[in-house]
Amino acid sequence: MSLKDQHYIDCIQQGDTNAYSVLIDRYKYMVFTLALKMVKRREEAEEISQDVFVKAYTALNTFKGESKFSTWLYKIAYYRSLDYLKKQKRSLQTHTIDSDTEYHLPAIENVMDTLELKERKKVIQEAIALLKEEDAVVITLHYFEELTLKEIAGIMNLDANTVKVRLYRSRKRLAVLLKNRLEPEILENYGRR
Amino acid sequence: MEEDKKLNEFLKKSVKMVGLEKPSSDFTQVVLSKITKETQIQKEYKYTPLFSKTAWVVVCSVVVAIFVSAIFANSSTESTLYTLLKLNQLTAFNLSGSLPNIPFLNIFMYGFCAIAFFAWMHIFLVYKPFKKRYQWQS
Repeated sequence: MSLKDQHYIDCIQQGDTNAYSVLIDRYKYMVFTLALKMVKRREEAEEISQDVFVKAYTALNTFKGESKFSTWLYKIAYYRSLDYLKKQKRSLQTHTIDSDTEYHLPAIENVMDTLELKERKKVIQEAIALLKEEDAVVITLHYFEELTLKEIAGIMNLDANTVKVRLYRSRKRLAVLLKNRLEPEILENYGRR
Repeated sequence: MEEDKKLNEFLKKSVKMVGLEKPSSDFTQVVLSKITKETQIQKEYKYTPLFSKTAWVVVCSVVVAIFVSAIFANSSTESTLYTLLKLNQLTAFNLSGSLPNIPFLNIFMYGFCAIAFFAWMHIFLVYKPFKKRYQWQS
Protein backbone atom coordinates (compact mmCIF):
# COMPACT_ATOMS: atom_id res chain seq x y z
CA MET A 1 0.00 0.00 0.00
CA SER A 2 1.40 3.36 -0.96
CA LEU A 3 2.10 5.93 1.72
CA LYS A 4 -0.43 8.68 2.22
CA ASP A 5 0.05 12.13 0.71
CA GLN A 6 0.37 13.73 4.14
CA HIS A 7 3.54 11.70 4.82
CA TYR A 8 5.22 13.20 1.74
CA ILE A 9 3.89 16.67 2.53
CA ASP A 10 5.49 16.42 5.98
CA CYS A 11 8.78 15.32 4.38
CA ILE A 12 8.70 18.28 1.97
CA GLN A 13 7.98 20.69 4.80
CA GLN A 14 11.01 19.30 6.61
CA GLY A 15 13.14 20.20 3.58
CA ASP A 16 13.10 16.99 1.54
CA THR A 17 12.37 18.36 -1.95
CA ASN A 18 12.72 14.93 -3.58
CA ALA A 19 9.64 13.69 -1.70
CA TYR A 20 7.65 15.97 -3.97
CA SER A 21 8.54 13.83 -6.99
CA VAL A 22 6.33 11.05 -5.55
CA LEU A 23 3.36 13.42 -5.42
CA ILE A 24 4.10 14.70 -8.93
CA ASP A 25 4.21 11.15 -10.29
CA ARG A 26 1.01 10.32 -8.45
CA TYR A 27 -1.07 13.22 -9.77
CA LYS A 28 0.58 14.42 -13.00
CA TYR A 29 -1.76 12.38 -15.22
CA MET A 30 -4.94 13.78 -13.69
CA VAL A 31 -3.64 17.35 -13.55
CA PHE A 32 -2.50 17.13 -17.18
CA THR A 33 -5.84 15.62 -18.24
CA LEU A 34 -7.80 18.39 -16.53
CA ALA A 35 -5.63 21.09 -18.10
CA LEU A 36 -5.99 19.45 -21.51
CA LYS A 37 -9.77 19.30 -21.16
CA MET A 38 -9.75 23.02 -20.45
CA VAL A 39 -7.22 24.41 -22.96
CA LYS A 40 -7.50 21.63 -25.58
CA ARG A 41 -3.84 21.90 -26.68
CA ARG A 42 -1.18 19.50 -25.43
CA GLU A 43 1.79 21.93 -25.27
CA GLU A 44 -0.21 24.50 -23.34
CA ALA A 45 -1.68 21.86 -21.05
CA GLU A 46 1.83 20.58 -20.28
CA GLU A 47 3.04 24.09 -19.44
CA ILE A 48 0.01 24.74 -17.21
CA SER A 49 0.42 21.39 -15.42
CA GLN A 50 4.07 22.15 -14.66
CA ASP A 51 3.06 25.56 -13.30
CA VAL A 52 0.40 23.90 -11.16
CA PHE A 53 2.97 21.70 -9.43
CA VAL A 54 5.39 24.60 -8.95
CA LYS A 55 2.60 26.78 -7.52
CA ALA A 56 1.43 23.96 -5.25
CA TYR A 57 4.97 23.49 -3.97
CA THR A 58 5.44 27.16 -3.13
CA ALA A 59 1.98 27.35 -1.53
CA LEU A 60 2.26 24.07 0.37
CA ASN A 61 2.37 25.92 3.70
CA THR A 62 -1.18 27.18 3.02
CA PHE A 63 -2.47 23.61 2.62
CA LYS A 64 -4.14 22.88 5.91
CA GLY A 65 -5.30 19.34 5.20
CA GLU A 66 -8.99 20.22 5.46
CA SER A 67 -9.51 18.73 2.01
CA LYS A 68 -7.67 15.97 0.16
CA PHE A 69 -4.33 17.03 -1.33
CA SER A 70 -5.55 15.81 -4.72
CA THR A 71 -8.67 18.02 -4.73
CA TRP A 72 -6.56 20.99 -3.61
CA LEU A 73 -4.24 20.30 -6.54
CA TYR A 74 -7.13 19.92 -9.01
CA LYS A 75 -8.52 23.24 -7.83
CA ILE A 76 -5.20 24.92 -8.63
CA ALA A 77 -5.18 23.18 -12.03
CA TYR A 78 -8.73 24.32 -12.78
CA TYR A 79 -8.07 27.97 -11.87
CA ARG A 80 -4.66 28.03 -13.60
CA SER A 81 -6.37 26.83 -16.79
CA LEU A 82 -9.11 29.42 -16.42
CA ASP A 83 -6.50 32.15 -15.86
CA TYR A 84 -4.58 30.95 -18.90
CA LEU A 85 -7.67 31.09 -21.10
CA LYS A 86 -8.43 34.55 -19.77
CA LYS A 87 -4.89 35.71 -20.51
CA GLN A 88 -5.13 34.31 -24.03
CA LYS A 89 -8.50 36.07 -24.32
CA ARG A 90 -10.05 32.73 -25.15
CA SER A 91 -13.46 32.29 -23.66
CA LEU A 92 -15.07 29.06 -22.59
CA GLN A 93 -17.53 27.43 -24.96
CA THR A 94 -21.10 28.32 -24.20
CA HIS A 95 -23.98 25.90 -24.21
CA THR A 96 -25.80 25.59 -27.49
CA ILE A 97 -29.42 24.67 -27.63
CA ASP A 98 -29.33 21.31 -29.35
CA SER A 99 -32.24 20.21 -31.40
CA ASP A 100 -30.86 16.67 -31.25
CA THR A 101 -31.33 15.29 -27.75
CA GLU A 102 -32.40 11.77 -28.64
CA TYR A 103 -30.20 8.73 -28.20
CA HIS A 104 -30.73 5.02 -27.88
CA LEU A 105 -28.31 3.57 -25.36
CA PRO A 106 -28.61 -0.15 -26.33
CA ALA A 107 -27.79 0.78 -29.95
CA ILE A 108 -24.70 2.73 -28.83
CA GLU A 109 -23.62 -0.14 -26.57
CA ASN A 110 -24.10 -2.71 -29.35
CA VAL A 111 -21.94 -0.79 -31.78
CA MET A 112 -19.29 -0.08 -29.14
CA ASP A 113 -19.05 -3.82 -28.46
CA THR A 114 -18.26 -4.48 -32.10
CA LEU A 115 -15.36 -1.99 -32.13
CA GLU A 116 -11.76 -2.80 -31.31
CA LEU A 117 -10.53 -1.48 -27.97
CA LYS A 118 -8.34 1.16 -29.61
CA GLU A 119 -11.17 2.37 -31.82
CA ARG A 120 -13.59 2.37 -28.88
CA LYS A 121 -11.21 4.57 -26.85
CA LYS A 122 -10.80 6.94 -29.79
CA VAL A 123 -14.56 7.34 -30.21
CA ILE A 124 -15.08 8.18 -26.53
CA GLN A 125 -12.10 10.55 -26.44
CA GLU A 126 -13.39 12.41 -29.49
CA ALA A 127 -16.86 12.71 -28.00
CA ILE A 128 -15.52 14.06 -24.68
CA ALA A 129 -13.33 16.53 -26.60
CA LEU A 130 -16.47 17.96 -28.21
CA LEU A 131 -18.01 18.72 -24.83
CA LYS A 132 -17.84 22.18 -23.31
CA GLU A 133 -14.55 22.52 -21.34
CA GLU A 134 -16.16 22.63 -17.89
CA ASP A 135 -18.48 19.73 -18.72
CA ALA A 136 -15.51 17.60 -19.76
CA VAL A 137 -13.87 18.43 -16.42
CA VAL A 138 -17.02 17.45 -14.49
CA ILE A 139 -17.31 14.17 -16.43
CA THR A 140 -13.64 13.30 -15.81
CA LEU A 141 -13.71 14.16 -12.12
CA HIS A 142 -16.95 12.29 -11.52
CA TYR A 143 -16.49 9.17 -13.63
CA PHE A 144 -12.75 8.67 -13.56
CA GLU A 145 -11.70 10.12 -10.22
CA GLU A 146 -15.06 9.23 -8.66
CA LEU A 147 -15.25 12.48 -6.75
CA THR A 148 -18.49 13.40 -5.02
CA LEU A 149 -20.64 16.31 -6.19
CA LYS A 150 -19.53 18.23 -3.10
CA GLU A 151 -15.84 17.70 -3.90
CA ILE A 152 -16.33 18.77 -7.52
CA ALA A 153 -18.28 21.79 -6.30
CA GLY A 154 -15.34 22.68 -4.05
CA ILE A 155 -12.88 22.46 -6.94
CA MET A 156 -14.98 24.52 -9.34
CA ASN A 157 -16.28 26.91 -6.69
CA LEU A 158 -19.89 26.02 -7.50
CA ASP A 159 -22.92 24.90 -5.59
CA ALA A 160 -23.33 21.08 -5.34
CA ASN A 161 -26.77 21.30 -6.96
CA THR A 162 -25.32 23.24 -9.90
CA VAL A 163 -22.74 20.48 -10.35
CA LYS A 164 -25.53 17.88 -10.22
CA VAL A 165 -27.47 19.66 -12.99
CA ARG A 166 -24.30 20.17 -15.03
CA LEU A 167 -23.40 16.49 -14.69
CA TYR A 168 -26.89 15.43 -15.78
CA ARG A 169 -26.76 17.64 -18.88
CA SER A 170 -23.19 16.63 -19.74
CA ARG A 171 -24.15 12.97 -19.51
CA LYS A 172 -27.02 13.43 -21.96
CA ARG A 173 -24.90 15.57 -24.26
CA LEU A 174 -22.12 12.98 -24.28
CA ALA A 175 -24.61 10.23 -25.12
CA VAL A 176 -25.91 12.29 -28.07
CA LEU A 177 -22.36 13.01 -29.25
CA LEU A 178 -21.55 9.30 -29.11
CA LYS A 179 -24.72 8.50 -31.03
CA ASN A 180 -23.84 11.07 -33.72
CA ARG A 181 -20.30 9.76 -33.97
CA LEU A 182 -21.48 6.17 -34.28
CA GLU A 183 -24.47 6.90 -36.53
CA PRO A 184 -23.11 5.14 -39.65
CA GLU A 185 -22.22 2.02 -37.66
CA ILE A 186 -25.62 2.04 -35.90
CA LEU A 187 -27.43 2.24 -39.24
CA GLU A 188 -25.23 -0.52 -40.64
CA ASN A 189 -26.07 -2.65 -37.62
CA TYR A 190 -29.82 -2.16 -38.19
CA GLY A 191 -29.35 -3.03 -41.88
CA ARG A 192 -27.83 -6.38 -40.98
CA ARG A 193 -30.87 -7.39 -38.92
CA MET B 1 -34.79 6.90 -14.40
CA GLU B 2 -33.67 3.38 -15.31
CA GLU B 3 -32.31 4.70 -18.61
CA ASP B 4 -30.36 7.37 -16.74
CA LYS B 5 -28.89 4.79 -14.38
CA LYS B 6 -27.80 2.63 -17.30
CA LEU B 7 -26.23 5.63 -19.05
CA ASN B 8 -24.43 6.46 -15.82
CA GLU B 9 -22.95 2.95 -15.64
CA PHE B 10 -22.05 2.94 -19.34
CA LEU B 11 -20.22 6.28 -19.08
CA LYS B 12 -18.41 5.25 -15.92
CA LYS B 13 -17.12 2.13 -17.66
CA SER B 14 -16.24 4.08 -20.82
CA VAL B 15 -14.39 6.94 -19.10
CA LYS B 16 -12.43 4.46 -16.96
CA MET B 17 -11.53 2.50 -20.09
CA VAL B 18 -10.22 5.59 -21.89
CA GLY B 19 -7.98 6.44 -18.93
CA LEU B 20 -5.98 9.60 -18.44
CA GLU B 21 -3.82 11.61 -20.81
CA LYS B 22 -0.06 11.18 -20.50
CA PRO B 23 2.25 14.19 -20.18
CA SER B 24 5.83 14.10 -21.55
CA SER B 25 8.21 11.52 -20.11
CA ASP B 26 10.49 14.13 -18.48
CA PHE B 27 7.55 15.95 -16.82
CA THR B 28 8.64 15.26 -13.22
CA GLN B 29 12.24 16.28 -13.90
CA VAL B 30 11.16 19.52 -15.56
CA VAL B 31 8.91 20.39 -12.59
CA LEU B 32 11.67 19.63 -10.07
CA SER B 33 14.18 21.79 -11.96
CA LYS B 34 11.63 24.61 -12.13
CA ILE B 35 11.12 24.31 -8.36
CA THR B 36 14.89 24.45 -7.75
CA LYS B 37 15.12 27.59 -9.89
CA GLU B 38 12.12 29.13 -8.13
CA THR B 39 13.51 28.47 -4.63
CA GLN B 40 16.88 29.95 -5.65
CA ILE B 41 15.18 33.12 -6.87
CA GLN B 42 13.18 33.31 -3.64
CA LYS B 43 16.36 32.96 -1.60
CA GLU B 44 18.17 35.64 -3.60
CA TYR B 45 15.32 38.10 -3.41
CA LYS B 46 14.21 37.25 0.09
CA TYR B 47 12.63 40.29 1.74
CA THR B 48 14.70 41.74 4.52
CA PRO B 49 13.37 44.81 6.34
CA LEU B 50 15.48 47.96 6.42
CA PHE B 51 15.28 48.04 10.22
CA SER B 52 15.49 44.76 12.06
CA LYS B 53 13.12 43.94 14.90
CA THR B 54 15.89 44.58 17.44
CA ALA B 55 16.55 48.01 15.96
CA TRP B 56 12.85 48.90 16.25
CA VAL B 57 12.78 47.71 19.89
CA VAL B 58 15.82 49.89 20.71
CA VAL B 59 14.33 52.96 18.95
CA CYS B 60 10.95 52.51 20.66
CA SER B 61 12.60 52.02 24.07
CA VAL B 62 14.63 55.22 23.66
CA VAL B 63 11.55 57.23 22.64
CA VAL B 64 9.50 55.84 25.54
CA ALA B 65 12.37 56.49 27.96
CA ILE B 66 12.63 60.13 26.81
CA PHE B 67 8.89 60.71 27.24
CA VAL B 68 8.74 58.97 30.61
CA SER B 69 11.72 60.91 31.91
CA ALA B 70 10.21 64.14 30.56
CA ILE B 71 6.97 63.51 32.41
CA PHE B 72 8.33 62.24 35.71
CA ALA B 73 11.61 64.11 36.02
CA ASN B 74 11.67 67.30 38.01
CA SER B 75 11.87 70.17 35.53
CA SER B 76 13.94 72.15 37.97
CA THR B 77 16.57 69.42 37.92
CA GLU B 78 19.69 70.85 36.48
CA SER B 79 20.99 67.56 35.13
CA THR B 80 23.20 67.98 32.12
CA LEU B 81 21.35 65.47 29.94
CA TYR B 82 17.95 66.99 30.82
CA THR B 83 18.94 70.47 29.79
CA LEU B 84 21.01 69.26 26.89
CA LEU B 85 18.04 67.47 25.31
CA LYS B 86 15.75 70.41 26.26
CA LEU B 87 13.28 67.95 27.75
CA ASN B 88 11.63 70.66 29.84
CA GLN B 89 10.12 71.90 26.57
CA LEU B 90 8.25 68.57 26.23
CA THR B 91 6.33 69.06 29.46
CA ALA B 92 5.51 72.64 28.53
CA PHE B 93 4.31 71.61 25.08
CA ASN B 94 0.61 72.30 24.47
CA LEU B 95 -0.60 70.22 21.49
CA SER B 96 -4.09 71.70 21.07
CA GLY B 97 -2.76 75.22 21.14
CA SER B 98 -0.16 74.50 18.50
CA LEU B 99 -2.49 73.05 15.84
CA PRO B 100 -3.96 75.46 13.29
CA ASN B 101 -7.69 75.89 13.63
CA ILE B 102 -9.03 74.96 10.18
CA PRO B 103 -12.83 75.08 9.85
CA PHE B 104 -14.40 72.12 7.95
CA LEU B 105 -17.89 72.17 6.46
CA ASN B 106 -20.23 69.42 7.65
CA ILE B 107 -20.74 68.21 4.08
CA PHE B 108 -16.97 67.70 3.78
CA MET B 109 -16.94 65.59 6.92
CA TYR B 110 -19.92 63.49 5.70
CA GLY B 111 -18.18 62.91 2.36
CA PHE B 112 -14.95 61.96 4.06
CA CYS B 113 -16.75 59.46 6.29
CA ALA B 114 -18.60 57.95 3.30
CA ILE B 115 -15.34 57.49 1.35
CA ALA B 116 -13.69 55.92 4.39
CA PHE B 117 -16.66 53.56 4.76
CA PHE B 118 -16.53 52.46 1.09
CA ALA B 119 -12.75 51.98 1.25
CA TRP B 120 -13.26 49.75 4.28
CA MET B 121 -16.04 47.80 2.53
CA HIS B 122 -13.75 47.33 -0.50
CA ILE B 123 -11.35 45.36 1.70
CA PHE B 124 -14.06 42.86 2.65
CA LEU B 125 -15.97 42.66 -0.64
CA VAL B 126 -13.18 42.80 -3.21
CA TYR B 127 -9.69 42.47 -1.77
CA LYS B 128 -10.16 39.63 0.73
CA PRO B 129 -12.21 37.27 -1.51
CA PHE B 130 -9.68 37.67 -4.36
CA LYS B 131 -6.76 37.17 -2.01
CA LYS B 132 -8.42 34.02 -0.69
CA ARG B 133 -9.03 32.71 -4.20
CA TYR B 134 -5.39 33.08 -5.21
CA GLN B 135 -3.92 31.76 -1.96
CA TRP B 136 -5.22 28.27 -2.78
CA GLN B 137 -6.13 27.59 0.78
CA SER B 138 -7.44 24.11 1.45
